[in-house]
Amino acid sequence: MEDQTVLTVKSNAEPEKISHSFRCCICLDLLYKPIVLSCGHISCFWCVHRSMNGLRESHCPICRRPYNHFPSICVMLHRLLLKMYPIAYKMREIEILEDERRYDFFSPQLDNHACGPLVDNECHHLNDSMQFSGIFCGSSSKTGSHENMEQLQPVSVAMKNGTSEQSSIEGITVAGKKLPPNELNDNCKQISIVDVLCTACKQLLIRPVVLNCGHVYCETCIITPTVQQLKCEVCQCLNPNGFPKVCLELDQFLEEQFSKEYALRRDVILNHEFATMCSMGAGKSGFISSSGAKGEHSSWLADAHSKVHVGVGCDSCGMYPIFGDGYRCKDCKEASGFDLCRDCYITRSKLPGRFNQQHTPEHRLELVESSIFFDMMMRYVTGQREDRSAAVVRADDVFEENGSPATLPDNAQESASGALTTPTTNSDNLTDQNNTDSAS
Amino acid sequence: MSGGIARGRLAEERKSWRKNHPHGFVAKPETLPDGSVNLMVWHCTIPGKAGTDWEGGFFPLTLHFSEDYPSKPPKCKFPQGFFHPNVYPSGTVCLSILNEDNGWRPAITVKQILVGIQDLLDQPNPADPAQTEGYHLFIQDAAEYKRRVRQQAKQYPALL
Amino acid sequence: MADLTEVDDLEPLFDYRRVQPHNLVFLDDDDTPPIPCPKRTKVLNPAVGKKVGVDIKELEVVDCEEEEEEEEEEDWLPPPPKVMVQKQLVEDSAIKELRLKKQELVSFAKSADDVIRAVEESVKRKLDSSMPAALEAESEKVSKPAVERAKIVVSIQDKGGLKQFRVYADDKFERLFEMYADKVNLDQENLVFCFDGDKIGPEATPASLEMEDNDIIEVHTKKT
Repeated sequence: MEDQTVLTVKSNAEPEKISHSFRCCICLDLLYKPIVLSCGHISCFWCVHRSMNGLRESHCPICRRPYNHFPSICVMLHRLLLKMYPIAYKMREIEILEDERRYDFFSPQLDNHACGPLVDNECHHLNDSMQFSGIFCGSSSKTGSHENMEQLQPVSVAMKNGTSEQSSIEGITVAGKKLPPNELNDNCKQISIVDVLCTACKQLLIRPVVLNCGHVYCETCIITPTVQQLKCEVCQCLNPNGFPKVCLELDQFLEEQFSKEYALRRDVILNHEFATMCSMGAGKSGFISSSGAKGEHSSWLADAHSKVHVGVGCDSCGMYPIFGDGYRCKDCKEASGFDLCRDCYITRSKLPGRFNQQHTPEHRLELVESSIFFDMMMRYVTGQREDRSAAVVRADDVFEENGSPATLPDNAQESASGALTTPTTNSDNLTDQNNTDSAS
Repeated sequence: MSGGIARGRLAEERKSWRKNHPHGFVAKPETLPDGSVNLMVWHCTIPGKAGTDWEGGFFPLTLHFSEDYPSKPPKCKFPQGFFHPNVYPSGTVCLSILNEDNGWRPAITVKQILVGIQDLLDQPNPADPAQTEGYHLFIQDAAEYKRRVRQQAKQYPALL
Repeated sequence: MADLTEVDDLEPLFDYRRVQPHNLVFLDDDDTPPIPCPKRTKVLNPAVGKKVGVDIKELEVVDCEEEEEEEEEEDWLPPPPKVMVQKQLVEDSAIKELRLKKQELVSFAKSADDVIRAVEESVKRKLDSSMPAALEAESEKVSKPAVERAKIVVSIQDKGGLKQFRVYADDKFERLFEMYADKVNLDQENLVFCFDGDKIGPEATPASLEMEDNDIIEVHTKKT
């Protein structure tokens, strides 16, 4: 309760009016470290994380569209907000950092002043700076936020070789004194097209879509592979949640902020699209249908063999909870741990953790056994038995049928006889899978 | 990080409510005997919609928020024994948007909840009955249902 | 069932008009429905109406001060709010003290100047964090003549919409009510003013009810 009063006093002191477009729908405050879900809706890093379901698929807090992967922060949007609302955004940073210290769980620290897209070595650099602030957290968690900032300051300035960080902190001291309105105006005017460029075409974003990795593209700039999953051209990360929808809040903001350029771009794209519309449309719909089967795991509960790592997420692709094999780092000491799903373990993802873990490629990972007890409990909790029998009645999924020979012998026989007509290698594989799974 | 944002969100809800809310509605956090404010319980008033049998009534509703709010919806309660097909005998409102597994989304605001419940008053959902009396009258005896609704509206006059 | 989930999932959810009952005429924040996305006017003109809020700029803000100052300024201008005065005194003395201290030390040794400046800075910063509101008040006072009193914009909402008034935070509501009744051509006897569901007495002031800028007062018409 006490914290709350402090917060309200602080927010009273901040002079910037925040557009409704950039208020988080969950905390109703200025978006902080924004994440754009595949449905195009924006929320804060922590707000998204908290609203996710550790047991099964999560739903968008605005439209309830299901998703399985915790997306990365949209760095472009983060920098845009920092530029538009320097004071309010810094205040949010202070608040959140205090909270993070309290729970010893940290969100990724982003370099506030770099302009290019976040690249790998930048990530490492950020991790380093976090290590420092982490040290400070321990010693100064009890003191007031302003003092904390003062302590942190020399470190981060030293880290960044004297970037303009200092001046933005000064901005906070100014906050209490109420800036004259024209100064605020200047803040908003600072935004230029350079801040809102497409990752691919390097022009003003138009109908922006944000991938799971946080990179922003024009809807038309995304090349849709016909066979594989959608992949980010910059970081090569797969985009697991199907073709993302346009982030309308950002789109409308761009249209108003850069109306001339936006109209120009729209005309060009419309002309272009008119020519290629047919092929584009076909490609996209084909992709969506294939990803619907592959990318969405909402049906995993119905699958008796899936292992679920309840409340554990993949630090690379963001899958949460991890289902299937999970790998945990033996060397990461952070409270959040460092986990990877099977796919990311195989591809040897070099991305840093989602919660600022100091994970390096040299760390050792081990396979995590999901607890049998928990699996059984889960099945009861979720009414899995009904699900399974229902699935058998549907009888359109050979895997599920094979999965329940013990409980439903009739069906098992049916499917076994069915398997005889198919190549034998296939049915062998299936039984193998059954054995290994029941053994674990 | 397990720290809830319930209070922060509710403080923002309160702030925006003070500046903008539909006419006739009241929504404010409970004030405890010692003068402190409890953000987790809100006392609200929903006016019956004009032009309906509910008009003239100002119905008291209490919202109970949990620490999991806004991941979980608040519990919305009319006084015990409130007459409406979709209100449980305890007073708890049965509405899709207030159901965690069904229609609830963290983005739904207090204002949307209250307006949603106001709509529900005059448009009960017979597919989801929560009390026998209100449900049966609504289905079987439209005239008596109407009379009861009007009588109830008189029971909750404006406090002025 | 008021099924909000059926609303197109791409439309902004915080547009409350979506859930407004149709027959309840209610002037929302955005009272320019023809524009597809009115709420973004804020981004376009960030400078307009920093205090009042751009979203309500079309509403007429009645400035009580101007009308009154012509006739009975002396009569109804009570002293500035006590709370403010006290806080200001505390701060003034603190800063004065610092300045004196500084001068004293400067005369002793010029080299000490830097140290003092640092002290002053840190005290100011502490004040900043502990009493931002008070500081804000102070800086306002510094920039404007000392006679200035804290003003507040309150909205009065009836069934048809919202009207805004700028009043002194320590001014009794009876004056505002009078003016409002005049404006809408109704007998004040038949009007009831409420804040947060409670009736507002004529003796109350915005400050006594802890009102903030743009807070809504609801007006109900008594049935005759």
